[in-house]
Amino acid sequence: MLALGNRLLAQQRIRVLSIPVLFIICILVFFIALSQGGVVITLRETMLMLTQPVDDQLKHAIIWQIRLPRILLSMVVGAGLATCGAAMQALFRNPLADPGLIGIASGAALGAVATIVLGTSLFANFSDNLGYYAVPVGAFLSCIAVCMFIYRLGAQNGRFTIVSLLLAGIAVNAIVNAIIGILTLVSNEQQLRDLTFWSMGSLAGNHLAMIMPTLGIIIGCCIGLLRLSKPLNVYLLGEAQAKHVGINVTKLKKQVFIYTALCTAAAVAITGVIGFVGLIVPHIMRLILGPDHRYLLPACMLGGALMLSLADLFARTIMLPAEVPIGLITSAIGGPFFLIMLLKTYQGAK
Amino acid sequence: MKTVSIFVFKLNLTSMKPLSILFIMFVTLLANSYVHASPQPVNPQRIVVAGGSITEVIYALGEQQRIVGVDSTSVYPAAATQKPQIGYVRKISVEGVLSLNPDLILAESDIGPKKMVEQLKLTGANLVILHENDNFWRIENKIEQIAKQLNVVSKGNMLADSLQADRKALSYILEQTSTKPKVLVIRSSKLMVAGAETTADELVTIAGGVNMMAQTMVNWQTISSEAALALNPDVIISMGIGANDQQPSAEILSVFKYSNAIKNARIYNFDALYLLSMGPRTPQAAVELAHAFYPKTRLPDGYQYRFLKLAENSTKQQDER
Repeated sequence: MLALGNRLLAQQRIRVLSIPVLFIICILVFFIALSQGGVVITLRETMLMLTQPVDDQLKHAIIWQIRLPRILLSMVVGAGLATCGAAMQALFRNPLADPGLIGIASGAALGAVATIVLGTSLFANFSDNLGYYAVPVGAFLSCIAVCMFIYRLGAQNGRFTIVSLLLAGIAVNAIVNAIIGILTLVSNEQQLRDLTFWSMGSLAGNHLAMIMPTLGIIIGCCIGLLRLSKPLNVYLLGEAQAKHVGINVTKLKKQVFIYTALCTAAAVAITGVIGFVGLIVPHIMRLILGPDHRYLLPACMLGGALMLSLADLFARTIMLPAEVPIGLITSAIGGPFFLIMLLKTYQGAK
Repeated sequence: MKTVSIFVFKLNLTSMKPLSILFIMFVTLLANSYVHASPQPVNPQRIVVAGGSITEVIYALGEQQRIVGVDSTSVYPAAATQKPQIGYVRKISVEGVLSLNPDLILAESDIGPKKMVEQLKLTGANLVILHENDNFWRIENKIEQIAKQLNVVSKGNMLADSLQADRKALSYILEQTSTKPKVLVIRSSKLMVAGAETTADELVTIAGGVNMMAQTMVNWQTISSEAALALNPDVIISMGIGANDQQPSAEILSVFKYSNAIKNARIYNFDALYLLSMGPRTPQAAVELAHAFYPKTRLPDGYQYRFLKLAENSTKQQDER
């Protein structure tokens, strides 16, 4: 009894400490990432440049135009992906669930592929008006459209069951992937290259004004999800149980669905598909903190921000002057790390 | 001291409300982004190249010691691949390019993605994009533009003039011809053929052949082996990249076994970069291509292939084996 109490106490202490600690690490990583890159700028110079204007125009441009937007984007997208991953796993009560189930990845890919391939013919107007915003906007719109379709199919006759949602998701994903296949078939060499690169994901090249809408949407949705952490805790007991405790389960599911769809759509539209963050960060956090969403969701936000910004730091520095696709790094760092965590848990259980 | 105080201030703010700090930061950032253009250097010494044909031209001009970085399409001459790599031309890394501290960035028109190009311009880098030069008739223009950027105008004129011999040889061959052969351009490794709107199609037409797929498809597309069996090309041009990708695969040879091209031993291997790069070697490659279409024609007196001939008749080679 006593031993159990001690362990619980220890876990409680970790929970309370983890969030400020993660937050401080995030801030540190932010400044380190800001000072690292192809062009050598010291940490001291970076700090100076953030606070006062400097003469060196190249360095100023690198910090303000290239690195800062990129690091902000990586942190916010990482936070969004990880939080949505945790929320999806709670919604489906399955540790392998990810936003791809509700059509995010395929929907965004459809939009991106359609804009890249048909951007010169069918959607010429759309592409001309939006310039290089065309692909992100197309991906976002198509992602939302596909998600809404799955939502409508899942919400037949007033109910919103997980099984119907899952089945609708599988069917719609298959259809959308077929359309993507057809578009890929008619694309030319250059378009094929572009869409391969899109699907590998990249955080590069976005200036501040361009990432603002994304940041706004993701942060808004994350706050929305954080507010749902208590009902999600109850929901983990089971749908019926949650209903008896007095939670509007259908509404909860719909809210989680909408926040997740919006949040990941905004992220994926601008960066392309970055796998693994949404799966691994919630798992690691759950191993450390346990399944209480009041701690898990904020920890996932910070952990996701940390993981993606670190991964991006590696992606843009290890192969200088070229760059490594970010998806490779997230899998390469995330996979082994995750395995170690798993093995440790098994050993602890023995 | 000042930095420290700012740091503390930010920490305080954030420990109160995690998200608001990020928000406040974005707003301050937007105001902080300004740029001015840098003066163009007269005689650039540190050049980053994005585009294989530009690298080829700079090597042909003998100015390669000024190149400090190349993209992944710059594979000819082989020495160019030893230079620092900035990635694929349509997927450049802005900071990677800037870290090479270039005073000139020379790029083909397909440099991208667009937003990276915008960023590159914003940093005040000296970026020169050579537009509308991916055309067989404008290679001299491309060379002259590059030579002007490198401040070696006379060398550029000499190189551009040397292409005249190839141009003359090409029209000399075409004057002696009558019926145009039906040509199929195919990848050496698989049944992927060049349709309309490809550089290969343009080159075939210029060298006096008829691309038999131009009517039915655009771009490079894979065809089924049955569809391929039905075709009866007079000449097959098999495209490979680099030396080890030259021989047409056994599949191609067997599928076209009954075509005129194989019966008459008229299947030729061409290095894709040699023929299609639109660099200084391309006019000679076009002459070679035309001569492959019309083997009985004569070349002008005194005409010599200046670059290593990269095309070869693969059926003959196989007989020799």
